[in-house]
Amino acid sequence: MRQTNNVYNVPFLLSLRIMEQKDYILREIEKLGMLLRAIVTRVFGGNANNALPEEKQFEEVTSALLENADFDLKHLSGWMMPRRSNT
Amino acid sequence: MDDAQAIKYLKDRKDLNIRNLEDLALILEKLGTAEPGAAEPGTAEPGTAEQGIKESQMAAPDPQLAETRLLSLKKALLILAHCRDTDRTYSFERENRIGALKSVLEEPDVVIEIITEGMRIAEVKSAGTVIGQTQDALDLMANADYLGARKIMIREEQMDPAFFDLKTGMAGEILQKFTTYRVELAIIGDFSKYPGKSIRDFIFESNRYGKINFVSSREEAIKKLTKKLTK
Repeated sequence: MRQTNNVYNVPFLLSLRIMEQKDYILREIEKLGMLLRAIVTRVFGGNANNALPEEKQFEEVTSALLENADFDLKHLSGWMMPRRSNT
Repeated sequence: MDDAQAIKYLKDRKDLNIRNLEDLALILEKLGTAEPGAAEPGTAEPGTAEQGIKESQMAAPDPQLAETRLLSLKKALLILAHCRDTDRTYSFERENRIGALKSVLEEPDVVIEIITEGMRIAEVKSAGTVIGQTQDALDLMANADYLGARKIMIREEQMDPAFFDLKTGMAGEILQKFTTYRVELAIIGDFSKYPGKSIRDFIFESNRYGKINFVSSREEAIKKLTKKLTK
């Protein structure tokens, strides 16, 4: 059996790994937060009152979340997606 | 996905903190709300892009769209309620949003009104059953206490009929809460319709103790609740 000579301080490395994981989660939280706020601004117009047409809002939000954050809002909400209008 | 599954889905994601959940709920609120003028960008009136929801914006001609909106609002409420349950910090803004969503979804909060008769008495104004279980009683006490009232008037029809069936144990359990938290209660109604000696004895004993009163009129309730002021 192959043996490894671990010359490193294992607890220290583990703590580093935990810190890295925490940093990663914090970055993910921040990333999703930015995405959600960007959606509010882009899809609903934020304070600028230039929201997307109503029919496009559902699709835009769902695809933005799914593509950028792997978040399935359609599944979560149990939506039947609204029909696109022909106009 | 039902509510329990939805909560699990949200919990399993590590990138959803309270702030992100609230933003997600905001997006769902906005999706569930028909924004006047949203179909034509730039036509919305100034000031309509505030956070939260307005009741007048529920009009939706397409039934499928209406269903989708309703689901969005329900999920928004679920997420905000989850935030309230998990967040250590109380948020007035969040509570307002929950209240607005509940009223849109016709799950109105208990409406109570403070009547001033020398002291603050909360009168329950909501239609339908307000106290259906012990938790409802605790919520009612908390709402009244928030308004500075530790005396509550409620009508008989706002209590679950099971309350007056002593075999269910509901009356004892609920009234025990009022006693524990030292909140005085007056229940207004005609109790003669309830048969049985045990319920009559229960009412008599409660009235004798004076903290829980079964009375026949609003005036009598006010009189009973304000009486303690002179003691």
